[in-house]
Amino acid sequence: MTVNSGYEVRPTSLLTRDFFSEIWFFRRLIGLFIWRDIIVRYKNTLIGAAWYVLQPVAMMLVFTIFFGGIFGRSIGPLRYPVFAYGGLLLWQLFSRSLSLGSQSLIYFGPMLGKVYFPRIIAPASFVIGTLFDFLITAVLMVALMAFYHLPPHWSLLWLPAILLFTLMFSMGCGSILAAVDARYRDIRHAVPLLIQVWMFCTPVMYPASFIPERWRLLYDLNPLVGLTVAFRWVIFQVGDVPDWQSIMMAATVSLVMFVAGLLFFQKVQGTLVDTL
Amino acid sequence: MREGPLNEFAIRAQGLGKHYRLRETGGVAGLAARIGRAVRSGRAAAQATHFWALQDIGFDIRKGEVVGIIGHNGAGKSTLLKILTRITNPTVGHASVHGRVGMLLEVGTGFHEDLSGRENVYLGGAILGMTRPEIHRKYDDIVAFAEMDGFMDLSVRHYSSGMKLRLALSVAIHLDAEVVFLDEIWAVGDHAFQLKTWTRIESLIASGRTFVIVAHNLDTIGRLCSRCLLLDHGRLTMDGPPDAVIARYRKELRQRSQVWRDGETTLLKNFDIADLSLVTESLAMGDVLECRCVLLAQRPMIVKLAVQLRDSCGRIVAVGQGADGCWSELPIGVGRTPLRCRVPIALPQSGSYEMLLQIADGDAIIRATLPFAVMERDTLIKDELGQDVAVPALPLTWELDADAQMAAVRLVTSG
Repeated sequence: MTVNSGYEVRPTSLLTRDFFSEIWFFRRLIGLFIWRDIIVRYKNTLIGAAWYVLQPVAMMLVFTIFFGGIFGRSIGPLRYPVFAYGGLLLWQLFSRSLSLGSQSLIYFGPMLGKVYFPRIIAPASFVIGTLFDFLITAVLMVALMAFYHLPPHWSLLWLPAILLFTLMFSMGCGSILAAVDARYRDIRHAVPLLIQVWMFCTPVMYPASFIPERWRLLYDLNPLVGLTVAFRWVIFQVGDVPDWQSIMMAATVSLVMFVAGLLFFQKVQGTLVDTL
Repeated sequence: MREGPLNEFAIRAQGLGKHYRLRETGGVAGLAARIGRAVRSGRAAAQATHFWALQDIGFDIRKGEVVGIIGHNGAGKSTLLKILTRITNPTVGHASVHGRVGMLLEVGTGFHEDLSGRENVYLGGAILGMTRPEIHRKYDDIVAFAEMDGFMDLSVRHYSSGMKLRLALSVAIHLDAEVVFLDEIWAVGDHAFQLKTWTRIESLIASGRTFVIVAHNLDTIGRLCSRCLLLDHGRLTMDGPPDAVIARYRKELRQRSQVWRDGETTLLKNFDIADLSLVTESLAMGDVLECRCVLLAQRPMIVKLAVQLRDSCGRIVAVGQGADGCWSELPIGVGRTPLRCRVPIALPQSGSYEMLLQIADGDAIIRATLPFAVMERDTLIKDELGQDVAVPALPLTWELDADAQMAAVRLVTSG
């Protein structure tokens, strides 16, 4: 039975046969929601997209002023502002997609109660939409690299994979948090705190080599560690060299969280509107 | 348009049920309760309030049937519609829907204030399941039906609420659906447009689409539907021809007038309602609703009376005015006192309503609700711009003015 010729109504169940065909049927909706959010976000602002560059730039300046002296020598030949901006670039993508993903059902709430589409589209469109902000902030990265005479390298071809795993991880976490938030509103207050703490557990302002070796395994459990190190490496080709242990760890944890998030969301999606 | 023979099923539902667990509201108390429940989960779960909004609902609807769902407020009509449209899952049971589904549950879904009318049409259409080429093809029709030509590049923020509604409804109605779920959306907004929408819906019905309609207006149901389902406290109590089901529902409505008694029981012994009824439960705009009531008092007293009219959603649409704000005072003697109250019906819309009667003496208060329906008696006229406007049709009686005629005759004869 194709989506356009009818459907079955059943009590909540895990993945159904129609799951993927349905998302395929509604795929344009993801694009439309992303397009809507971008338009709406910039329509009533004065400097529009500049806000998304301003945020990491301000953070970069703060980091440079306070930590530039401390970590400046331990990051190899790289200049600290570029190092920090590189970390912030990926961190912004992750933190924004996690926080928007976890809030997605709040924003979509009224609509979900009136019309049907696969509920996973709500967090998905928010999470994927943050790629747009990423692209804007990446423009400044290019400028910084030109300024510090850092030529791009072939390894940049790995970039899409790094972004994909980052978004899969935040999608997994985000959909779990969003679904739990529909029941217990505490999540929306906890997420900003979680993100703040998380940043200190991620090599954004300091190099990963700063973490003592005996803590390394635990540290690597945070997939953002492997991803950030790899991200900097494919852009700059200097500094911490990513090791396979953290890369594999990051990829595995991201994938597991992604699948776990989808399954959990799918399990509760049918009755989400009852508690929203 | 339709595939297969007429006897094919459009909707089959079996044993559908929806269960809710009512929970505490937020705040510190709610949080404490939630934490408490988490700690001793087993025991607390048993204490939570359980409630079945729907139970054991089963029916088959053939293609081309127009089925109305009626029932009192909270009978489960909307829940059933939400389950059939997949907005929420049932707790038990199974249903299958065959054919492309359209829903007109609540309009304006997905409209964004900051987008233009055109952008919103594309977004709203996609949310309803239309493809881009399909919206593109129907775009002009949608704009024309909504009478919105020339406004489409304007941000929806600058639309009047009527404009938003017309555009949203127009998008929804242009979805080529084989099975249409309809909630009483036409109960809002500009009346002329409602009638136009109705005409369109009737032509869709005539073309053989399957409709499931939830309406509070029994006239509508009676006129359009070929079959009716009656829900009562979440159960399907009757399934049959509209006339028979509506007749039973009206009978139930009459029996359902409810009386609550609050306050100190000792005080309440002072007076009570012995009998309460409406002279007629169904009337037209401009008529007078007449309520009869018999009060039983232990001693002579002055009771305060207030009347509110509420619509089917429970909103207050009119209040009675008395000497003291909404309260009127009336001295009654010992024993039975028959009372009569006449309420002129001046309501914005036809539909089902209820009258809330409150009778108070000090802290004791008796509340009673009496359901009634206001029938449609509107007509379409053309305004100066040639657009359809609905206006109430006032029942007129013309007669010869005998006195004046006599006077005229006298004038002629004497002059």
